[in-house]
Amino acid sequence: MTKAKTIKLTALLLLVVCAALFASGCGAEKSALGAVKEAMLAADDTMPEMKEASSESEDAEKLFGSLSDVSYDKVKDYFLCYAADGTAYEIAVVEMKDSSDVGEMKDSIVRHIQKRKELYKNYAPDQLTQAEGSRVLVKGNRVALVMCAKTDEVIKAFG
Amino acid sequence: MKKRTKIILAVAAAVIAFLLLVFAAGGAAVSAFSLMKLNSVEQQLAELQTYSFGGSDKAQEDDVRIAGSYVIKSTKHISDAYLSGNSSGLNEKDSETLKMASDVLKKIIKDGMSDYEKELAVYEWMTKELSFDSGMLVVVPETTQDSDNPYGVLKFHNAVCVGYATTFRLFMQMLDIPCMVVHNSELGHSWDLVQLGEGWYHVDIFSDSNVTNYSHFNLNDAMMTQYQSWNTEFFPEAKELKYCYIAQHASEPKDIYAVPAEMRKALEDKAPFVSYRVKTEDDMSALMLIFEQVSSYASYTEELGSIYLDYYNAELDEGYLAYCSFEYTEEESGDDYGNDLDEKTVEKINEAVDKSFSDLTQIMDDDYYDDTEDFTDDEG
Repeated sequence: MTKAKTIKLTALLLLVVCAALFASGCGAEKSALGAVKEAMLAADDTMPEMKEASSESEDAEKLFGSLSDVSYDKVKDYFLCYAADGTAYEIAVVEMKDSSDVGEMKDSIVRHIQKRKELYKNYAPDQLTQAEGSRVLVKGNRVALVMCAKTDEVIKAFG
Repeated sequence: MKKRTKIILAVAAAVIAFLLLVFAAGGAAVSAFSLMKLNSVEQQLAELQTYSFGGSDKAQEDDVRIAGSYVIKSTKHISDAYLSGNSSGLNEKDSETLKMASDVLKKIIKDGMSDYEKELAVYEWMTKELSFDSGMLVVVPETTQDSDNPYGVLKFHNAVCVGYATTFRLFMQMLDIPCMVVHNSELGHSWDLVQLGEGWYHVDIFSDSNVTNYSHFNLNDAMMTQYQSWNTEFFPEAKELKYCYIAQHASEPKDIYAVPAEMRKALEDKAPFVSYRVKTEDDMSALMLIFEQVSSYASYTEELGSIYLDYYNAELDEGYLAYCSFEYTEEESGDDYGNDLDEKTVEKINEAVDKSFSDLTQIMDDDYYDDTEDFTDDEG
């Protein structure tokens, strides 16, 4: 093999490796929200019938308003799964367009949890304990709400 | 392989290794950052003890938003139309509301009834005929139409707390009995204050809906404080017990140790509650202990079925009132194990468990003591 060919081959090899690393990082992020949802829901087998709202719903922005008062313009993607019977089961992940908005999103979810706890305290005290076990998680540009019976398992599925 | 080629390949391998190290380190840094953020969120959740749906409680009765979704609206124009006999100023919806409410009153109110008897008749009708609209608990609420006002409540018999409270107030105002809708400090719940004679009384129809055990009927402030907090500067003081149903039916126990047997009979007779007036704090403590122990025994049994026992006490001008209300449900307990075993096996299992555990001392639930003032004996 000539020297020129060797150098070209090495450069091509470097380029392919870098491209593969780059693509694996970005590609995983884009397609993973749906996969994360499935994994989180599957992690708690006690969940009742769940309803779903997401960025693909017809009234995506209006439904998002049931979870957060943050401007929908700041949201890249989201899903919200909640118990159809009103019990304390709620799994949501919101991916923000800009990392600087993660804090605002996190704060709004904390307020949302408190609102849910107040509702249960007044109208369904038997759900309050489970609601009080809620967790809010941040990972990169994503903020997750986990309210269910098997919180640790669902958190693992998010992580 | 030529030396130069080897050097080039070695450099390429080093670059690849360096890139892999950067990605790995970057991942760890992101994880650490996320963990720091998680801890911050956990701390924030822990610090945020109470939540108010819309700021602090309001010094007003109407136009208050409850639970973020339901607004308390005045219906005085409807009750005024009823009392004056002139409903020409009402729109179609309000006219229909007036008709539905009038039809109920025609059915349940008899000539010669006192204000208290009228109020009791309305309470019993509402707690038996109306159902809580649990759709308000769903994250994306699915309450039936108008479940927060008398029109929807009377038409569909489905109500959220604001619907119960405003409908009860409408009935009271139609009967010319002063009544206000109260909201709690967190703007998460509403109920009524009704005036009978010189005194005001709390009535929370929602909390007794489908139960009718009078546990939230005509309470004074001391009793209601155990459930809710509200703006006591704006709403009238309720200190009377004359028309409190539970207090009216309270007896003085001749023998504290006979109370469990009395409770057993009450439960077998499906009574709504038991209530006692006692003179000393020790006797009140004894009653609460009895209620607690009966609750642990009797909540779910073959003989009595499924019962939810709820017990409270209140300080009176002289002595204490201790009461335990009962809610008889159709629900079964969570686990259903043993149904497929024969009776003899179940009996042997029960004997074996009892033999191994009956010597243990039950630990009292200390949370109960924390919630009641003047309950623990400081002198030990």
